Amino acid sequence: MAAEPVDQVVASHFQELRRGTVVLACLLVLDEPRYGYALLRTLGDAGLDVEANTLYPLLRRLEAQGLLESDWNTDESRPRKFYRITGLGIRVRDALEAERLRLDAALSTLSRPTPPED
Amino acid sequence: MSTSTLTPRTESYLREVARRLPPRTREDVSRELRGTVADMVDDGVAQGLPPAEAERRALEELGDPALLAEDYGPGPRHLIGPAHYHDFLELLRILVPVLAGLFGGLTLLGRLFGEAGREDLVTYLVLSLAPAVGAAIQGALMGAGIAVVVYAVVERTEVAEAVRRGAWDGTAAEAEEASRWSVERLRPPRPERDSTVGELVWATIALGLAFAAPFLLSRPLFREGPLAGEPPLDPAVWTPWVPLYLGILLLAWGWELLRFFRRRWSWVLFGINAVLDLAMAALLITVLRTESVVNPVFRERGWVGEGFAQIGVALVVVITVWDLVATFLACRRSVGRRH
Repeated sequence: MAAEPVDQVVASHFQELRRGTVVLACLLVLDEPRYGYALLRTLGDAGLDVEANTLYPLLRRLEAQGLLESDWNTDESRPRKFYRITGLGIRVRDALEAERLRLDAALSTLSRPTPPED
Repeated sequence: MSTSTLTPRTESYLREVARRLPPRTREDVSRELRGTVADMVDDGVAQGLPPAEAERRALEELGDPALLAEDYGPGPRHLIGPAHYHDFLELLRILVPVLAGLFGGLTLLGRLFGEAGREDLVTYLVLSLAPAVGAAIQGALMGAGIAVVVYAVVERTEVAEAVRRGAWDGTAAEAEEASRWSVERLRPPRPERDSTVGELVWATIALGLAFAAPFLLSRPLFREGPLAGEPPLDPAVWTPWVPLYLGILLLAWGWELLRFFRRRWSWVLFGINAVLDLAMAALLITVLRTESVVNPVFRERGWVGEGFAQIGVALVVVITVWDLVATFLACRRSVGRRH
């Protein structure tokens, strides 16, 4: 009973922490055009478990902001929408990546190894 | 990769998503999701699941179609957001009591005149009060509804503005500059207010009822029976007392307006009110002691006893003293807080 709320708190903070990273991850791998499901698997293989129902709407929003562009590929039997990063997307990606590194460094200087308890 | 044909279950899932999307994106999103579900089903089948089970898992992973469609939606997913919530509450606090009071008060006045002449007092009051309460509730609901609609619209126009400005183009920086909060936007400090709009409305209604009372009481109370055609108020009090009484009520209403626009209590305000209180008390006590007040027919029939004048005078004294003390305390508290 007492453990559960802690887990929930951790889970909700994890979610907050990861939220922005999905955008950066998409921008990092979409130099090469990919369709949604392939992107999902690429991210999953890299250890970023993103849910399909998060990723697909996100791709649309990034496209609406002009960071991605898309094309339908109907050559195969199953039509697929391929997303690719735009020039604007590259600028944003570089800015986000720089910020990620800066945050990482900043947090590293703050964190101290906890001394062993006994 | 096999091309699995999608079942009616998937199609109905996609329909559930699509019908919640803006029309121009419907087709495109459905097409993309259809391919995704097919890919997910293929993966499941490759892992050895039966197709129906693979489909179930794929759809359940995508989750509630309503929530998925919401994630695609452009607009805010709340009615009134934190930026406007406080202003919304303020508008609510003004509109609800004002409209409730206005609707209720006007209806009550109308009914009191409309229902005059009813045989018994209880029926008369019920027939007058019940519609007034109903109208007050309607007024309150209307006030709440107006506040909600106003801020829901504000919320959405602001989002549309932001989208139109474009989040990333060159003008965005200037637009953001213009919309950014700065100390210049602070409202100049206004003197605090001791009285609310609601208080003014209620005072107006109370004074309105007091104003209507002599007119109401000059109409016959009964349509049948021994007192048919007899008004409860003695017609003799009309000259000169009723016009004086109405005059003092008008001054009292003027005082309420003055109090509202001056915002804070002051000893001058208290003094004017005290003068009006005492004038009204003097008038009522004089009338009670020198005039019959009630229609003499009522006295002859034994409907009104000897104690009427004493009880009336006592009531006037109690109410006057109570008002003087209450306004004195309110004024002292307000003035004291400022020093």
